[in-house]
Amino acid sequence: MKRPIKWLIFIGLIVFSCAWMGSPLINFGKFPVIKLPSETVFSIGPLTVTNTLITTVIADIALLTFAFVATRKIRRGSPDAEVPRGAQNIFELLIDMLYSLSKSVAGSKAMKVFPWMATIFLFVLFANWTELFPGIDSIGLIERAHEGTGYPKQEIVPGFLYTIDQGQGKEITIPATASQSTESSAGQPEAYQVLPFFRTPTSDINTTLALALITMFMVQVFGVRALGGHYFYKFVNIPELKRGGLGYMMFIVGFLELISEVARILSFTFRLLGNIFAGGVLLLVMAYIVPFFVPIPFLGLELFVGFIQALVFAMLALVFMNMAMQGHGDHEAEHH
Amino acid sequence: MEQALVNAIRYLGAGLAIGLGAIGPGIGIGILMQGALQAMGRNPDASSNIQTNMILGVAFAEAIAIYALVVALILMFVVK
Repeated sequence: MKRPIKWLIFIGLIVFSCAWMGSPLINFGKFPVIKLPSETVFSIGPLTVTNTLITTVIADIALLTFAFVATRKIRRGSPDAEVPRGAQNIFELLIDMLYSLSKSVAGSKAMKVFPWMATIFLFVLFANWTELFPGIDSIGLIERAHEGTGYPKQEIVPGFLYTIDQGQGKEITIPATASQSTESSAGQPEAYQVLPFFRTPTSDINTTLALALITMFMVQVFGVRALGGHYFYKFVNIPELKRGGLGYMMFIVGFLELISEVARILSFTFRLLGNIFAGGVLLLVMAYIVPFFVPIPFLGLELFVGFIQALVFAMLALVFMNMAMQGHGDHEAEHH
Repeated sequence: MEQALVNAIRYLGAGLAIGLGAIGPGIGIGILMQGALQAMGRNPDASSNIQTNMILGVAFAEAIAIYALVVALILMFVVK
């Protein structure tokens, strides 16, 4: 029972590394096309499905499957669950680490914020780690470039498998403003771009902005739940204003708090986006410069960066939620 | 030719933005880690608490580099 699983993992690892080693063989000498916005793969009515959305759903399914497999014995009430093994062991390790972290930061209020930060951590972790798979950012539909730079296409398997040829073809730049580009560029040779099926969700600004907005919204909700209406005195400090003197100063500081809340949304968004986007570019460029062996340590680095960024996101969410739940008095006591 | 010049200046600007913008956070994170490691060495019992605050501090220092990265990304991909 145990032996086939081990062999399966071993074979999986070999296939994984072969795919990483093999992909530069096809792409050798072709500098990757780097694009910041995600691309629409197809659309259902008004709903456009981008490649990052597809990968988000895949990451979600992977996470749900993992959770389902890990907790199977517990839900069955099996006596085996007392001593965790395999996936359950990993899951319990993760949850234990996250819970002790939230315990050390939030103390008695740990159970309130723990579900939020753990959910954010697990989702961001799985979303970040999708960038490690070969084929992300590089396999997709080939289509005519509407704007930007396109390249001539080259057949590998006629009628089925193509690659864009950046080695010999010259760049064809179509101005973004020309909406009637189909007519004007008719004389030019055709320019093609690859539209990837999969792209790391957290390298899309929409995903990270949504996560940041949800987090900061929940920070306000936790603050109001813990302190009631007094929470908003943090921003518009009327009691201090009534005291006069230094109170005026505190009133102005309240507005600075308001600005810092907005700045937190921005820094949440761009920290995750910047790290993961730059990581993806790093992996592509390293595979371009030296296709063999050299990208391997960078894969390890990205494994680490993905984990650390998920941890930082979750921890900042935890700390902000904890700070919002503390009264203004406690907040000042921290500063001495 | 005109567009090529604009592109050249754009790439130069993006490179300078992230290059100069990374100096400050780099020094900051170095100092921060030095302090945290010294504190952990002197008082290993407090290391979990120090680690929490250290990662927070690193995240805030790193945010500045991320702003520079955003400027560089805008110069590279958004400005035409």
